[in-house]
Amino acid sequence: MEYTPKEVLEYIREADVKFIRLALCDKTGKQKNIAIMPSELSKALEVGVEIDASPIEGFDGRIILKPDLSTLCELPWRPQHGRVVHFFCDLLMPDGSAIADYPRNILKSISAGADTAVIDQSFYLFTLDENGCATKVTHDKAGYMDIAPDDKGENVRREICLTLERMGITPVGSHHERGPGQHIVNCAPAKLLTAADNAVTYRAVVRTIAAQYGLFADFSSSPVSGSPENFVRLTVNGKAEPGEHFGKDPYILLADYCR
Amino acid sequence: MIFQPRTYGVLIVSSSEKFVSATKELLPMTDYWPVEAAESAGAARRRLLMRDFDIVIINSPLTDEFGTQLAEDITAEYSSAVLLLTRGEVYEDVFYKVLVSGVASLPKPINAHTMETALRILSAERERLRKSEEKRVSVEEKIEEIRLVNRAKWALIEKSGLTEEEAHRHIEKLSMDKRISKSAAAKLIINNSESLS
Repeated sequence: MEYTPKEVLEYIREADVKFIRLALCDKTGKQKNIAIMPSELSKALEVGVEIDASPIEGFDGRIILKPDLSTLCELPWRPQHGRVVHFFCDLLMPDGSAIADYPRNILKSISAGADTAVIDQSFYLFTLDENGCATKVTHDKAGYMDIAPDDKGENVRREICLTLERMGITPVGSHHERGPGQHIVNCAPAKLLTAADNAVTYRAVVRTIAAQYGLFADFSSSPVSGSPENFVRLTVNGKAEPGEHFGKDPYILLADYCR
Repeated sequence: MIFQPRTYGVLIVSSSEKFVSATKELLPMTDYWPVEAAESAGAARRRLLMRDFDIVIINSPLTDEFGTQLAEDITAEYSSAVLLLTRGEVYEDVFYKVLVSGVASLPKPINAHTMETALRILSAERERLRKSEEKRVSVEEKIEEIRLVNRAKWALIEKSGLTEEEAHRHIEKLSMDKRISKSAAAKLIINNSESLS
């Protein structure tokens, strides 16, 4: 949805938003963010926020994060008193020019029209030890489309679905996957840039909800040796795109499709 | 022994086995059942995924987090009464922080008598939470009844040519004659009209 800067500022004020997270992805597709206070938002919308991105993989030197207004979204898992919202950002050089090789910038500039896509990503759930660190013990030992009590992740998947819905992403189904503790939540297709943003958001939501339930969500390729690997499935305009998509940055994945 | 209409399920979250066994001694099976223990916040969260508890006692600090986040998350998501125990030095700050989330807290060290009394107060709180849950469910049931009755009325108006007032009376009469609820009467009418169409 397209918002004007005025609408965004009014919303931040009326909804008592206390923190605004500005998100970007590093070269490996991992989400990074900084949080700014509401008092800084006006300036951020106008000229952006300058940061030192050199510690982030794929960048060196300073860059500017400019919130993409249409990606405004409240984070439902943060406390109600002191709401947190987040934006995906356009990335600029300090002189104001767009960063040519930033995948999200690229996808934004070349994707238009009526193409829709969805990126489905499976994940494994592991228990945490008494220090809060991930163990190698999967949450359950169930198999493909198994039900409770073998499938212990029903409530986790349900909470993931409800959270995605509150963030404007529409889940269409979920089930236990083939590996022990392996799950997937499938979402509805969206326009290409949104589909890529959704894929990044999905990972953050899954990880956060898993942590709330004392679990660790693992999206790596082979978390359990001898068990099925995690996979990434790309569907464009209703047709599954063949090929190996695992490990690719979602923006590059869809930008490659456009080319 | 006083006859108790219900028992309260208790989850004790503590990394100290001594605390767990001392607390368990204060929880006779006649009043508190089942009583389980979790050694960390993560273990507690996983346990709560699988079943609800009436009372959760958190002995902070835990090994994987302090305990306040766990307490607040539980009161936000479940209908359990939560008691958070903290060291005396930080008690005042913690008390005010978690109060707004409906978490009860007490300073350590805590003696058996205080704990027993606290558990009774928590049981009363749990009953209060149960009542407001029941109220909420009954409001939802009321809304569902209104929806069903409307659908049944619509079916009668469309398929049998009744006026709205006649349809309303038909549903009421059916429910009285068959001695069933209005929702059940509405469902009968809807099913009949669906099988006829």
